[in-house]
Formats: sequence, C-alpha cells, structure tokens
Amino acid sequence: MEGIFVKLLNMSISASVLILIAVLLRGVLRRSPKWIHCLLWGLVAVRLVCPFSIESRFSLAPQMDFVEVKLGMQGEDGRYLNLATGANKALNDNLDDAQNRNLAHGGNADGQNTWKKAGNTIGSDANEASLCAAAKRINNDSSEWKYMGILSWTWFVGVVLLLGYAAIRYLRFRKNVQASIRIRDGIYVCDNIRTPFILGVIRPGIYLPSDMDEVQTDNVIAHERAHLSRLDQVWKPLGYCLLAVYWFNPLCWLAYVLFCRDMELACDEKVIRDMDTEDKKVYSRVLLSFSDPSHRIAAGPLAFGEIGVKKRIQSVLNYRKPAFWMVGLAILALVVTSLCFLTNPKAANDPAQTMGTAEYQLPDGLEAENADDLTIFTPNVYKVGSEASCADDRISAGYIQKFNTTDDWGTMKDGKIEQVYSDNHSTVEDYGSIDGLCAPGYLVKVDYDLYSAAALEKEKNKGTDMSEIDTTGQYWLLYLVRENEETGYILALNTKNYTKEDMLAWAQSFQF
Amino acid sequence: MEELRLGAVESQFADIIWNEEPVSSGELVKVCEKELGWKKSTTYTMLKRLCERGIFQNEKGTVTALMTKAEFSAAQSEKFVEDTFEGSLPAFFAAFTTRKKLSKEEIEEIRQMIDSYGEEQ
Repeated sequence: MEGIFVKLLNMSISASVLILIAVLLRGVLRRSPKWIHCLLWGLVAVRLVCPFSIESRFSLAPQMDFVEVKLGMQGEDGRYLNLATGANKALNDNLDDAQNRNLAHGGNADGQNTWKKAGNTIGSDANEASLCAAAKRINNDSSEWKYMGILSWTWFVGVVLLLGYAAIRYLRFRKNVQASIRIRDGIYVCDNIRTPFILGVIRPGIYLPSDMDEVQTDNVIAHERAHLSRLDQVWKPLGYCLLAVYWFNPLCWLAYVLFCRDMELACDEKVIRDMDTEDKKVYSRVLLSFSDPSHRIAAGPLAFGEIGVKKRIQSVLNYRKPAFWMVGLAILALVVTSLCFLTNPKAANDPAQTMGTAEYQLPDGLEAENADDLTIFTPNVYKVGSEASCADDRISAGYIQKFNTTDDWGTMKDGKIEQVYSDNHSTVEDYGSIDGLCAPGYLVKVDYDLYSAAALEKEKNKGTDMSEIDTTGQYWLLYLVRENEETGYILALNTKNYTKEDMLAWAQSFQF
Repeated sequence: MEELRLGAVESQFADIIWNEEPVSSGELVKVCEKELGWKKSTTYTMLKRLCERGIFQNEKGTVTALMTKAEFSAAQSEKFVEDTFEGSLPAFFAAFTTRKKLSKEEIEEIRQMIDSYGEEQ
C-alpha cells in the first residue's frame, strides 16, 4: 500500500508541474479552439496514468524518485538500502552525512559482516542477503515509513469515498429517470429532472426535462449531441476517476474543474460554429433559461446549465473562427509541452575520469586523488590509529594501480589470466578469470595487514581503544592485463561497502 | 400542497389508464411495457404516485379512475413543479462546480447583453 501511494505521490508531483503549465498555456492560447484546451488536459491525464515514461534530453519534469530521495526511504527492490556506499548518487546528494551514516556496514576481525546503526551492532551475519533483509526491517521501522503508512491508508479511504459518492449519485439518477419516455433514438423526456443531461457511458442516453419548448429542445439536443460526438461521456467519468485517485493534490481538483469547463465550452463552440448572429442569440437565451433560479438546478453528469453561464454566453456571442496559424501554433505548443513534460529526465551520467590513457567512471560518492601510477579513492574506509604501518591505499575506499607486466604479477595462458601472485596481501578468496571486460581479468578478495606485530603492540600500549580500529583492510582486486602489453591495471574496491557485483559492474566502465 | 399538474410523462401514463380503465394492474404493466418501454417496477411506482394524488385508485389489483380526464383538467391550478431530488448539494460541491445561482438582476443583465449583441455592427 505504501509503495503504491509513494509512486502516486511521485507521479502527482510530475503532473502538478504539468498542470501549472497547462493553466498558463490555457491563458496564452485563449483565442484558440477550446478542443485544444481539452487536449491539454488529456496530456495531464496521460502523465497521471502512466507509471513509466520515455527518457529524453528535453525533459523538464522532476525526477521520478523525488519523494523517496527527499525522505531517504526504502525502495521496493532495496535500491536505497546501502546508504553508506553511495551507490545512489542522487540519494547522497540530498541526504546529509548524519543520515548517510545511519546504516554503516562495518567489518571486524573474524571476517564476519556486521551492520551498525548509530555505533551499535544490530546484526551480524556472513550472508549478505539476510543482512539486507535486516536493514530493510530497520528502515521500515523508521518513523518516516510509519508516517507514510498512515498517509497511505488515509488516501485509500479518500479514494473509496469519492468513488462511492459518484456511484451513489449515478444510481440515484438512474432511478429517477426510470419513468421516462423515449422520443427519439437515445433521447428521453422525464418529468423529474430540471436540466438536461447525459447518463451512461457505453450506451449513453440524453435525458430532457418534459417542460421544454421546441426551441429549447432543438438547441439542447444539438449541445448534448456535440458531447456525444466528442465522447465526453467517457472522458468526464475517467477524469473523475483520476481525481478520486489523486484527491490529495489540490492542483488536480483545479485541473478537473477547468477540464469540465473546457468541455462545455468546446461543445458550445461545436454547436454554434456555423451559426449566424441570430441563431447564436437564440442559443444564448436557451442557456440563460436554464439558469433561472425558479428552476432548482440539479447538478448532473454533463448537465446543460452547469458551468458559468455568463462566461459561456459571452464565449458564444464573441466566437470568432480561429485563424489557421493560431491552431497551428496551439498544436505546436502541445507537442513541445508533451516533449518537455511527458518525458522524464535522463539519469545524470557521471563524467568519465582519466588516469593516463585509461578512462573509467568514478563510483558514486567517491573522490579520486590522482598520481602517476596510483589513483586513490577517498573517503577512507578503514580506521587506523597513528601507529599503523600501512600505505594510504590500504585504508582507502579503493584504488587503481598501474603496473608493469615485466614485474612478477601473475601468469597468462590462452589469452586468459591463469593466476595472480600475492605479495603483501593474503588472498581470502580466488574467483578466477573474468570475461566481458575491456581486457582479460582476474578477481580475488584479499586482506591487507594494516599493522605489523610491533606496530600493533605500540598502538595497544598507547591506550587506543582497539574496538574502534581496523587491523585488516579487505579489498576486491581485479587484475586487467592484455597479453603482450607492457601495462596492466589493478582495480581495487573495499569489501566493506561494495559487493562482488558492485566491483564487477564498476570494472565494466574501465577502458584502456 | 397537492400536486395537480401532470408532467408530460405522467400525462401520457394517465392517458393510458383513462383509456384502459377499469383494468387489472398486471394488464396495465403489459400495456406500459409495450407502449412506453417501462419495467414493472416503474409502472407500479408511477401508479402509486398518481393514486396518492387522488386521480386514480388501485383496489385489490384493479385500477380505476376517481375522476374523468375532463374533471381533472378543470381542477388544475397554478403549476408547482416538485423537485424530487433530496436537498441541494453539499456546499463545497456547489462551490467547486462554480455554479452560481443567478439573481434576477444578473439574469436581466445577461438578457440585455444577448439582445443588444450585434447591434453595434
């Protein structure tokens, strides 16, 4: 339920922007035919109905995950789970550091993975999947999520009420026009009704009050027939359904009101388009006759005298056939609006980084410090005291090391890397050769000692709190070497924040 | 106030009864179905309404007239149209549909506007 509601919130935010644009355009395109205004509302409806969208460079719409990003909430597929890794750039840009460290993946000496929240270990498991589930549970217990639950159910009740209200009204109308008599195909007269209206969607009927004179009857039928030819008896209920779903958004109410108004105006236009002045006056008087307060006006679905009578009469009397260029301009405006607001912005691409002649994408949330043969990624991930005896790259988030293949790094056979040699690290796990990268690859998981035995003693004697210290740094190492080439690369990412899949995914971006 | 005026639909129905009476209610239903396309329930509802107005009566399944058509026409007085909708809409909905009840002055103003349109040309 919360998932649906959040999705709807997102979609309504996108649509709200479009509604404001539509209102603006409606003013600008005042002199254009009213059916164009109705199309504008059609665009809004499309935006509200479609959960997915085409991505385009021209999009001016807000991001589709606006709400989750702002609240730092749990996505369905666990997308925002790993707040600390910076795996989602947009998320990190919007949350402050405190929230980022909310769930931190901590490593400890015996190789187990632990999850910490606010410094307290909340779960420990070697299995990453169950850790993800635990973290999901914690996120779901958060107050933001509970709050969202209450809102979701309130929303649902609102939808039911609005739809129920419409259903009851419809049944009431149906009951009231039972005692009606058919005078023409699809046209009925009834004693009980005050204004004419259309009832029914699939087989719509026009219902007229029985006390109308001939002039009224002719004009009313022309108007209602215009509605039917435009399929308004379908659009209006659809619009109401959308309103029922998006009732929490006041702009949607505005859109619905204006949409109904534009439908009536468009039908008026259709009827009087080819009328001379006298006929237009007659039509106007008929409109006016239904506004007489001695007739209590029944608001019906597609009632005749419903919307702003004075405005309608003015539109009728002042109607001018729109110029061709005006229509063209309006349609152009519609197309441009669709392009900009029915599409979604492309996900921002990280700019490519270079290291010498090699190119790669910087993992989200990391900075690169370049040197000739070694690029180190910060911020550092492993914590050591002042007595530590390791190099900078051993506590970093990751690094890229360029090396000479003439050094003893490993062996190749049949175009694949056969093995790699461990020097000052201990291989925890060997994953063998990797295909599908820009060069033959080989993946291992290694531990680096961050302290020599002596340095460790020194650190302890200093009185450093050893529970705060990492004595080992663990990394994924991916070797990339092409046969008969002088230069090879080692890509490294810490295992605290990155999974094997993260490593391989990132390695895809490395080109040399 | 007793409703003496018949709407167009009620008139047609009343005419049928005046033509057929005395008639069994079942037979009346059949006739109305044929001539007006009405369901049984609709016919019974309408019949009940006219009986309550004292024009007809339905005694043990037989429908008879309490006055002739001529007598009825004579008894008609000023028309009141009964509004069968229960109450007006909740205020918020009325505002939301921007349906303003026009005052007599406003109606007059608009009527003037229509009448004088085109006269400057």
